[in-house]
Amino acid sequence: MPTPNVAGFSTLRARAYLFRLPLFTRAVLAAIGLFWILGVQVWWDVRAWGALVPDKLGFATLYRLNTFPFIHLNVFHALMNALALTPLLERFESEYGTLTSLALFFGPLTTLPAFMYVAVEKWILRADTAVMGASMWVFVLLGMEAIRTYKANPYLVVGTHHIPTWTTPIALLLCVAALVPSSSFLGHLAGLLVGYICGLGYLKFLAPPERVLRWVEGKLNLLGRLPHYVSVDQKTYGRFGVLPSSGSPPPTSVALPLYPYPVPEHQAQPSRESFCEEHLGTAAGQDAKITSALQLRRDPRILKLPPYLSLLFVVVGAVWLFLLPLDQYSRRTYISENALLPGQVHTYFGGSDQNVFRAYKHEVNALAGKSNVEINNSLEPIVKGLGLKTARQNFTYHAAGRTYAGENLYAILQAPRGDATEAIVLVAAWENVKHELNRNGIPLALTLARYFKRWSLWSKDIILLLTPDSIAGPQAWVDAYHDAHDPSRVASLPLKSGLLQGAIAIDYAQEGRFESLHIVYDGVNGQLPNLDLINSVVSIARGQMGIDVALQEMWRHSDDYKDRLRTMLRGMLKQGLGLASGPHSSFIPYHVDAVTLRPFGEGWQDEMALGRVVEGSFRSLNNLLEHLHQSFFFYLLMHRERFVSIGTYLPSAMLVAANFTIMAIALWVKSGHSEGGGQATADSKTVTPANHAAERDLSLPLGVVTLCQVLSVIPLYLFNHVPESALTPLFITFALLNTLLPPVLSHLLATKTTFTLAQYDLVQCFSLLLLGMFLSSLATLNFSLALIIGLLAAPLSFVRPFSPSPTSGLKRIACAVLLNAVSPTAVLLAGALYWRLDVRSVLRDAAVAWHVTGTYSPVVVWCVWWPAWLAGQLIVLARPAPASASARRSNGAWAGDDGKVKGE
Amino acid sequence: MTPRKQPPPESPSDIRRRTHVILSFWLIILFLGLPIWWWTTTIYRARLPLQEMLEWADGKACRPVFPLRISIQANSLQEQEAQNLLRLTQHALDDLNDFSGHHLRLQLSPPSSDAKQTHDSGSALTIRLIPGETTTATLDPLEPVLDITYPPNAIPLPTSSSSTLATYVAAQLRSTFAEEQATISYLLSTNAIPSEHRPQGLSPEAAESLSKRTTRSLKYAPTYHLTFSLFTSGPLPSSWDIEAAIDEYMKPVLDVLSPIHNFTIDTQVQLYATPGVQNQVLNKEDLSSFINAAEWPLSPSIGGAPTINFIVFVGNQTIAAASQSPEDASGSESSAAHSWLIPQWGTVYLLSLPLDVTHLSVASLKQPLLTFTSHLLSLTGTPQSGSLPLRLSTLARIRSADLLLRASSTLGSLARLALALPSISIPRSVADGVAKTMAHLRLACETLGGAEGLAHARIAEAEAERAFFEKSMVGQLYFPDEHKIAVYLPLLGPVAVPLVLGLINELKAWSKRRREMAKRGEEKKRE
Amino acid sequence: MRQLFSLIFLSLLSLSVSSVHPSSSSSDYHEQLVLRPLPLSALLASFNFRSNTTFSEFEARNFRLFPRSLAQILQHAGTRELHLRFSLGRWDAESWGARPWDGAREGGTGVELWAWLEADTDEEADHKWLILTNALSGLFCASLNFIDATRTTRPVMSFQPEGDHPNSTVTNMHLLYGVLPHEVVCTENLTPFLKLLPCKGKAGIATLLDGHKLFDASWQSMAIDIRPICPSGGECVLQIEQTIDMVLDIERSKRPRDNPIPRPPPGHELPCDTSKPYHSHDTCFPADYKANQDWSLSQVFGKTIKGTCPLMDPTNPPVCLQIPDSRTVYISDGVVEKKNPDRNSRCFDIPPTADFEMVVTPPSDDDAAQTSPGAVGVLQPETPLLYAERSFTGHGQERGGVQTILRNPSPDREVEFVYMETLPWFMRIYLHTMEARIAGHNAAHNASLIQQVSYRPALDRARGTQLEVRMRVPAASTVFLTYDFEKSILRYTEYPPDANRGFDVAAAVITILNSNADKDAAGGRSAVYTLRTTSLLCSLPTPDFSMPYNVIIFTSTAIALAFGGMFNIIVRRFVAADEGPEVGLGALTGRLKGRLNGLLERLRRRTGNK
Repeated sequence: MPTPNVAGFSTLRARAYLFRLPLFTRAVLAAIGLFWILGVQVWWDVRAWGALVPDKLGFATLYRLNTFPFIHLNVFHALMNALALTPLLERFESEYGTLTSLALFFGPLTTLPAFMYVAVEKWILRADTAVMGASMWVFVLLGMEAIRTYKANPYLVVGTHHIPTWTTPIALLLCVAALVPSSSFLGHLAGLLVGYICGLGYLKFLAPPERVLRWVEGKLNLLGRLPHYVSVDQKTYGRFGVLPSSGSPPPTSVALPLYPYPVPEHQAQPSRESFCEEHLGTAAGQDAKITSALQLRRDPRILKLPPYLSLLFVVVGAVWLFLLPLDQYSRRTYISENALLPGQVHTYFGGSDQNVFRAYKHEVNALAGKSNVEINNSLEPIVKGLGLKTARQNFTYHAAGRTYAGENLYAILQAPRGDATEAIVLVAAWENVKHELNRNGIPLALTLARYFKRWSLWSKDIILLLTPDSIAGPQAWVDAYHDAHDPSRVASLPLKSGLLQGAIAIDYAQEGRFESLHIVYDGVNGQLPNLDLINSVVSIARGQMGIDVALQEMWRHSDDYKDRLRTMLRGMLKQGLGLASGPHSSFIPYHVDAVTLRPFGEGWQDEMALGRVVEGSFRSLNNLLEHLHQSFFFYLLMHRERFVSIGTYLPSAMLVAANFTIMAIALWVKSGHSEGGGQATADSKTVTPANHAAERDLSLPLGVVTLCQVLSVIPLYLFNHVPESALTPLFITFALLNTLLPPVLSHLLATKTTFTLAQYDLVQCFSLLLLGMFLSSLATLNFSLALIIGLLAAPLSFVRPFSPSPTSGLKRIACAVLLNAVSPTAVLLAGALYWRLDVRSVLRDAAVAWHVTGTYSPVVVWCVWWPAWLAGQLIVLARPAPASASARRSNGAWAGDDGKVKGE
Repeated sequence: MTPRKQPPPESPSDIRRRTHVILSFWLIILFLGLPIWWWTTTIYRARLPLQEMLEWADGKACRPVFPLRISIQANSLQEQEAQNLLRLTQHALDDLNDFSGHHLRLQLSPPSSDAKQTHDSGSALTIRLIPGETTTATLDPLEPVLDITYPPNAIPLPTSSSSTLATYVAAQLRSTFAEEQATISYLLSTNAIPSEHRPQGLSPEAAESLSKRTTRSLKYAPTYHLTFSLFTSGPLPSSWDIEAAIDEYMKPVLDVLSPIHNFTIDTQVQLYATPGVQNQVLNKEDLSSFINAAEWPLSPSIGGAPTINFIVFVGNQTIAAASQSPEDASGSESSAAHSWLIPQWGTVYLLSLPLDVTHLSVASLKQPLLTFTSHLLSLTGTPQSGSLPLRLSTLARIRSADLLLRASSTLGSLARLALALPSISIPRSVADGVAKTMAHLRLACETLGGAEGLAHARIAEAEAERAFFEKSMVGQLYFPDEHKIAVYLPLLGPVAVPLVLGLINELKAWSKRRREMAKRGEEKKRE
Repeated sequence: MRQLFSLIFLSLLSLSVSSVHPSSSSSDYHEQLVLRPLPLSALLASFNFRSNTTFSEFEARNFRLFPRSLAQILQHAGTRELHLRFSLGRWDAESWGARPWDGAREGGTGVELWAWLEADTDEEADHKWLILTNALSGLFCASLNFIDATRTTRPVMSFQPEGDHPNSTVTNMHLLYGVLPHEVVCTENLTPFLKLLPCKGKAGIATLLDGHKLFDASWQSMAIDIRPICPSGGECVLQIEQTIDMVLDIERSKRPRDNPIPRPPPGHELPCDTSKPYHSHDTCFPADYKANQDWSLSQVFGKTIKGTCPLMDPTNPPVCLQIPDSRTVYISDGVVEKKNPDRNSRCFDIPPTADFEMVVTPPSDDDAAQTSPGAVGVLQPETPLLYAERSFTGHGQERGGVQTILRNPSPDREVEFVYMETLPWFMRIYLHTMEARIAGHNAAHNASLIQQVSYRPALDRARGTQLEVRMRVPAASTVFLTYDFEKSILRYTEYPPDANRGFDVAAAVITILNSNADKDAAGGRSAVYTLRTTSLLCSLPTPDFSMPYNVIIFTSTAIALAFGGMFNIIVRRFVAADEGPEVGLGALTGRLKGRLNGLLERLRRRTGNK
């Protein structure tokens, strides 16, 4: 049997299925369509005419009992019902024959529920709701189905619970009632009841006697005349001449209505089945559980399911993401640490401090363009003059062939009455991330320090940190503060204070007044500050100062779905890249909550306003008795006052990661079954899919996967240690190699070894297993990165080696090319082009981040994603060797299996 | 459907193995798990003799009786005359006496050679009969001796059934011990004592005054801590000769009291002390709030002993005459205008001095200290009538009765507590304390009225208090039952189900095997 | 050093014999306030109250100057010598120089208590210690009763008795030391402190003491020292000395009480550096060091001194001001100013009833010229013997390290001292990681730095770590003393309400030994200078306290499930499926039918039998 793959679920099959639809089913569908068309025109209201309205039900209008199933509210209604109805009805007819179906469906199966409904609606509920639509039939048929399934395997096993299978339609009923608007629960219920009754066979007497039907058939020679007519005789042995027996399918067929109805050969040999079952606790339920489970296991459809399941997972995961901005899923932010009391204090910064600010600004402007040491030399006396303890720190980083050296200047304002146990940091980098001179930020920081010195209420020390740049300087300082630094490159701090409780960075490079405030909060590796900090800054800026707040460079944010989504996605992208986005970023890995405040826009707010915001925030931080721990550390902000917490968003990444694991497991199981039937794909009658177990030889596949993983170290090392100038050529060469490597490898595999399909399965299985494992664990650390990689790697779980056939060569090439389009290099290039960056700078930043801030995104890209991709490419280009040998082995293995199991 | 095969018969070894497995599980649970669980979760409750304790509380255990031996010295009488007189007097006393708990018994001390011989320690009082011209009675101030002179004709004849002298003596004795008797009976009545011990005649006003006095006096303690404080409203005076003053005016009383109480003394000087009430003339309601508890360092002494404060306040404030309460007038009138007694706490004495006095001499301290002395007696609960030695012996008896009653009531409340709170833990120390208490209570009860009786009562009371205020009893952990369920159920439920099922199945299988074996046996027989 | 010297000198020099009260001549009570302006517009005010009581009076419990409440605590707890410290803030040695009293009258942040108790056994000593701490906590409204066994240590080298004890008692005297770093010293501790004074807060220099000012100070330390003094020949006396040192920020304390908010001053009042080229009406480079050099008592303390305490020994002046003679000081009339020959301090005799006010004028400009900015018109602070700074190293919640930077400023003489740490039990230190290294030297020099280590390891939940290191720092060099520790996980009932704040670690006590004393008796060498590092905040792994029961239930369920699985596997038998009993609905009905038939059979048989 052809193994399921993307192409495997083919339109061919669907079309064939449609063509095989029997007569009555077609008629019903046609009728539904017709009535819908009738409904389109305006001057005759079909719905009013045909619907089942309890009050209008007189003797003259009994026709409604039969017409209402054909009439629908609108096209969706019609379509849905048709889709749901078709397989069931088709099945019913093909078993009982066209005539019987006709008789039943224009007789009892329609009227009984209708009467039931009317009775209840009219005389019990005293209401009058018109119902229409074929859904009632659907439920009738479902009921019958369910009863039959129940006879076969009474219980569905979920965990330790036994759910009687006949209840499944009820579940569906409830779902429909809950989800589909304006669906008539009562009507459906009535249908379902009748279905059950009928299924239990109490309505047999209503069916027309057989010989009559035969006689009619014979007289009219319907079988000859009507196409797709299902004869009465046929029904005795169903469509394919097999008794519909206890082996009938579990309700999965309902779950996937599009799925071609099963090929039930496996029912032929129940006696050959032999499997474990426990003996002591002889509860029928348990037996049933086990049988059903085992039947499921050995059901070919189970082997076909995973691709669709994982596809479903990926889709759901992606869709989930897009649901988040909706009000139902996101929450309003709130401040959960009551000690913060943001905006509860008056702020007095301003007045003559402005004069001081101007003076400091003159000083700073005079220093523009000077060397780092000169700057510090002239800033230090100023800070000392304020009565602060000052100190300096040298640092040197080497990354991408460059050296990032500099000298941090920092000063400690000792809390009066305080005891160096806790500290808050006020950071002002000499130049911001965009390498603009922080011409207002530095003076503002100095003025604030002078102003803070006057207060006696500080319970924590205040550290004023002036760094030459926005990434390396703060990083060096924080590392040294926590003694996580490498003394050879970063000097230790001569002066220290207590535990850092929070940090606020001022990045005020623009000239003149500003309009609103941009809060930058992403930390290194996508770590985030405690949400309380952001909330309190927001509430201080907006509630107290009346300054608007923007996030993620959304300069204009009308709080609608689109903007929310955009904000969230930008946030996720930043998080995924894991680069430092400001001076605050390096604090967060040390559990020091920090944000950067960056004014923007042309407005009437002046530096003093920003100063007051900082003052307010510091007062709030100063109130803290405990380290910020109340609120969230994992969240996605989509508006300054809307967020999603980890519980809500994590599933999407987990689903995406899970799809790999599922596929891996499926492949493992599959690789366990010999593909002996592989040649017999042509006729699907005699396929015996699950009954052979082949023993897997793991050595080669493991070797291949390991090889991929080992190779991945090379790009990681190269891209992080090559000087900047060489980055672009390196990238190009690597990209080329990257496209050439898989064909070469697969050629080697094909020629040098006898790689069977099963082994290819195993290769894919292992690589996907690794991928799923890595991503699901990564999702808890850096959700966005996991999700992005997961989505980009999603195709890898659907690629399959092509069975050797004339057309497969082309397909293979196409698939390979497509897969190349989602290779790490290609994605990197595309991204660079999209954001109009040159690859070189991107790579340089990555290297710098790797060396300075310790960003681990490169590891994820090169050591998780790339190997998986490589393996996937190998699978696509695979030329499996014929595997007769393994088939033989598998038979032998099977006996052994038996013996093993029978052991007791 | 194909016919079901039967599984191959299970090998006996497997059956045995399974049986052993299940058995061992159950054995572990029963003989290891349960005991450990039980042992770790039970609260230790030492056994208390609750019944006896309650009996003590109800006064059933001990009937407080004070047999007072009173010896009569009649050197001038012949033996049988004296005996006769004694008998008559005893009769008269018994007729008068209505309170069985407090009983006076006369005895004749052997005629001694000299009249100056003091009374023997065993008896509470000695009556000296001295011939004279009229019948008079005088209490010796220094010794518990009652001198009675009688006219020669007053000696009753051996034949006569009554005599004036006898009734006179009886009346004298009765009046002497009236207050003591009243106090004791009051004490008994206030405690839960069955009515047969109750005295009949105790007039309400008498009871009222008694209750006032008892409330005013401090709880008994072996040691009292006397603190003499000099508070001055301004910078002066800053020193005083308190030591000398105490030695002169107070020491005698303290020495007399020493058999019952020990006293420790400390003194202090405090300048710039502002009283709680600033106004010039203090009214009755001001007196209570005069002490500035927040400012003045009058913290009670650490280490058990209750503190009695004697405060000399140097200021220009005076007490309004109207606010004199009668019992404050007990001291001399002059002192009453300056001092008042604060029940169970101490005394304040207002001393007004000229401004430039920097040093308080002994002389200027005389009046305050005398007031303090008198107040000290009433604070210790000494009766007011009778001669000093008599008052003191009475005090001893009253105290022992008081202690006895208090200890037994404490026992009672402890017992009730133990009954009321089933979940409170009772450490061993409590049980020991109770045992000791009861032992001493018995001893005290036997030797009531004597010095060792007092000692025993004292120990008993202390032990009872210690047992009652045991720390580890107070802090009992509150652990509600729903919490227990929350903890136990998730663990025990799922564990128990498979165990029990396994056991049941095993038993079923076992019985089945038995039956089969039996059947097989029958078949064998049949063959 | 210099301060003490000047004090003694003054008391000798002061010649006033105008004894106002005959009584006070006999009294043995001294009080003195020393004011000393410090650089950066700070003012050190150190109050000292000292009184002696003869042993005879003490034993007889006649208390005149000695507070009765304290005395009976001492007697009850058998305390020979007592030292109690309440401290807040930190002394800024870099700018303020050496500590007052050579650091002998100050403690680490919070409350610090050490005492010599007379006891025969350690248990008895512990018992008495318990009594002492409980009584003192009641007396001073401080939670001293939290000094339990885990917080109590018995230092070996750091502390020596200050009083002179007869050799008979020295043998069974036990030194116990307890510290509460987390205790916040505040007004409720000051009030009982003042109550102990003979004149309360009502007269004399004590009138200046006021909670608002004292606890607004940048650094303040209240000390009580009780020690027996036996002057040669004379009778032994028990001396109680109460000291309050505080460093006030003049600028801050000059603000009026009703409006303490540091609003920015109007532009024209701002002291500007006019030399700057860009200086204009709206641009002002601040010259803060010029400001706040002028102050007066009533400005700084909010009130004036009300007369003197009548009990005070009038022979030594109550108020002294340590400031160069070049500065002019205005004083209220009736007060006698006596300048000290060393031209750096002056003292004032105050009439008993008059109020005393003092106004210090800003320094003259030539004065400003010669000294460095920030230290204009004040005495140059003398450099301390040693600078010490302690901080945590490492991050994360599993383990960390402590690093102490010890800097010896003096160019020629090396410093020898005892470094004492009292650590809570949940900081398990690795002693083998303790090392001292000189900055910028190789390991060879470091060998001889640590000379003696006395270490008493912690017992979980029973007692804390006690570490005493006798070490030396060579001249003009910096020594890093580091050791690592491991953080243990507490039981969830052991966490304080504010668990996420972290746990305070007491200050390290550094006692600099007298270098010219004999080397062999290391224990007995007197301390010349004492300093304490700042206390630290150690963050332990903290659980989420919202869900203890969830955790219990979850874990127990997991255990139960695991057990169930294992049990089934052990006891159940596995056979082939078709051998097991029949499957499905049919099986059920079949079994039922069988049962029914059986019943019917039995019934029929019964009836048949009948």
